[in-house]
Amino acid sequence: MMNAQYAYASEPRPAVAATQRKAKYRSDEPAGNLPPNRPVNIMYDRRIYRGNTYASPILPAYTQPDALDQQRQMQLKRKLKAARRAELQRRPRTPDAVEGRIHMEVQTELYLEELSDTVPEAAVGTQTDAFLDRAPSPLYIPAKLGVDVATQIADGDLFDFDVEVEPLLEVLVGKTLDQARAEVLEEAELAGLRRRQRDFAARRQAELVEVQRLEQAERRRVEEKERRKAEAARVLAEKQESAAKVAAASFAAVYLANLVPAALASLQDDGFFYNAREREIQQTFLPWLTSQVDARVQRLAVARQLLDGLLEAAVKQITPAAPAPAPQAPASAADPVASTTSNNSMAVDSTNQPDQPTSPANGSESGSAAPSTDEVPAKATDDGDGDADAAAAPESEAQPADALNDQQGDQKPSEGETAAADASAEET
Amino acid sequence: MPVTAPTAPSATATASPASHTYNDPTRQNWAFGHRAIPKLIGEVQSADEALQLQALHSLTCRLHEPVDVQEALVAGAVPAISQLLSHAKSLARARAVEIVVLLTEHEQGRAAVLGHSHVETLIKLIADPAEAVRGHALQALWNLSQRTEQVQQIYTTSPHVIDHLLRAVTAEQSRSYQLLTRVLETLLHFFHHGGPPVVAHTLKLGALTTLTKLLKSHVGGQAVRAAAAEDLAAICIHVTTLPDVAKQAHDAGLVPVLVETMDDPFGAVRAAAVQAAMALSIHVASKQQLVAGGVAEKLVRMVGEDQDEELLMNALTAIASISEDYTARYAFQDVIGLIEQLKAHPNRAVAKAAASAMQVVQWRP
Repeated sequence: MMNAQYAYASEPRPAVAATQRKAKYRSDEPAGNLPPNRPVNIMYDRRIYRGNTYASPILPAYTQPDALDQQRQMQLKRKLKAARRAELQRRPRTPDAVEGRIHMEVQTELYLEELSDTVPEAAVGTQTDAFLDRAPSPLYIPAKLGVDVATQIADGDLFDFDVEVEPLLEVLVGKTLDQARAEVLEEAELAGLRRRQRDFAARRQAELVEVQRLEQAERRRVEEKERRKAEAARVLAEKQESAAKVAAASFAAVYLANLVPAALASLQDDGFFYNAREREIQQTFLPWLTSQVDARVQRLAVARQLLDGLLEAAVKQITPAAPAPAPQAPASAADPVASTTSNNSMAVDSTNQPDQPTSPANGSESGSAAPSTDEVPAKATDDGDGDADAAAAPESEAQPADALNDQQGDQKPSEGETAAADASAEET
Repeated sequence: MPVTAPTAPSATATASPASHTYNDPTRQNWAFGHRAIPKLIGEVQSADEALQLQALHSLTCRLHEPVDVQEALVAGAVPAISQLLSHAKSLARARAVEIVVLLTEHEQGRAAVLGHSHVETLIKLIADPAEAVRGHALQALWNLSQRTEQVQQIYTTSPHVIDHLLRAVTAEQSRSYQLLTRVLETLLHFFHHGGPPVVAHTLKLGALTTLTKLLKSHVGGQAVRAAAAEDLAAICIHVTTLPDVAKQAHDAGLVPVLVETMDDPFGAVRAAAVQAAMALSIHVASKQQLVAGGVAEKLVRMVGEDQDEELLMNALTAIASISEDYTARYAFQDVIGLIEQLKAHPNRAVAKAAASAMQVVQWRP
């Protein structure tokens, strides 16, 4: 009885008795003749567990291995082993081989056979024969029967050019169109590439022009800047040069303002500017005059010495025992010439003015004249004529002029000699 | 891949030279797959002239695919066609040069052509009697002159290429304007990538005078005039580095021609003329000549009326350069508003040029 609420994949079947289980061999009898399978009471089915299902299952006693049974099984096993062992021992075995030899399995059959476990194998290639495919069977065309009356031409029998040529034309036209289309596409692509190249070239050209414009503008600016800098430098240099010139001119003016006077003064100090007449007088005339005076005085002195000598000799002749007068040592030692001169002057005085005795005034004069060498020339000058005055007066000037005398003493000797000659002429 | 079809016709074709007919579809050799290009290159070197022509023609059809170009380069197409460039027949020369053109449209092809020294032959073909040969030769040179390294390599090995190109400028004026445009465009590549040495070389040959005369004579269509003006711009960009540029520009009377060209009805020509004036105005004396020639009025009109972005960019850059002259600055005071509006142009190059122009126009000492 099936419950309508449940659906089974396989409907449960009652357990079947062991004796009624499926037989090992199929029965030849039809299935209808087989006895029906009677269900077995499940209570007697060993496969079904009976008892409490809530608690833990407790295996029944008969499921547990019985110790007695186990022992029996073990004994049985031992017996079997022993029997086997005994069987082996009972069977005669081949005795062991003699020492130095081994047993070999030898075939004793008449015809020896190689024994091996490997099964001999051989690879053999096979190929089907190159047979041609079976040609199709020719169409069966039955023999013609009867008499031809008319020829029936069905549709499709005759060669239709339009139909037959259509695929060829399609191929040709298609290929041509493909080729043309490819070429047109190629040309369009090339035209597009060239257009892009032209656009790029135009942009590049414009960019290049812009860059060049900026470069040239910058170059012009730099050149202008350099030009202006050079111009400013030139102007500055000119200004500096002008300022230097002005400064130099002013400095030169200041410097040269005193240059001429200073130079003139220096030259004058050095004696480059002189009065020629004065120089001539100083260097030529005066030395000559002095030399002349000196010579005359020398002559006078010599003359007086001679006269003194003569007088002394005369006096000695006259008075041989007259003591010699005491020498006047200081004056004569200091200036033997002065003393001689004084003596000479005295002699001159006495010579020139015999009427005038050597008075104390004269003597004072001489005395005053004798110790004073300075006065001798003055005296001589006073007593003398122009030549003595001329010789004494410029004597003070003769010393500074001595330096010039050496230089210019010989410059105008002719004039000096002429003047001395004139002076001596006047004196005489 | 389909397998190679039976080559029954080729067996009979190689037997006798006259057996193969060029351009006969029923007796053509076919090759598909990986064998196609090598087979064609092999046939190019065949003794049969018709077969050669056929192979050349097939190659010109196949080499539009980059994969086939690569295969051709690997199979040695460049040395194979070297002898055909000097073929007696013009058709063979044209096909061979066309193959060179197709190869040079790819970088590997350009490297291979330059490596095999085909440039000398191409230069000689510029003066070929056949127009197709000249056209393809110029196209090949145009392809080969797209990069600075390649131009310098060509100019180093063959500096007389400039001489031939300039002679072609004069020659093509009476033959083909399309080729004349191609010559001028090739010259433009050499000017751009060759730098001052190439420009100096062209100046020695009187290129500036030639191009000025060409621009003035209005020979050819707008393409020729635009290309000539662009060449002049490429020369005048060196006005600061090469002193001969300003001198020859003055001697050739370039300034009046440029000012006159700025009234051209075509925008491309006006843009190129403005570009040349823009480049020339960097030089102070040329700037004064431009101002004296009345370029300010032209530029004012362009800024107010033209919408072409390239033209606007060139005009604004020219305004920025010319406004360094005070008389021109006064002339541009009326368009300060327009220039101010252009500072907000969606094109960044135009906006930038407008900003520069505004800065210069509003400058006061």
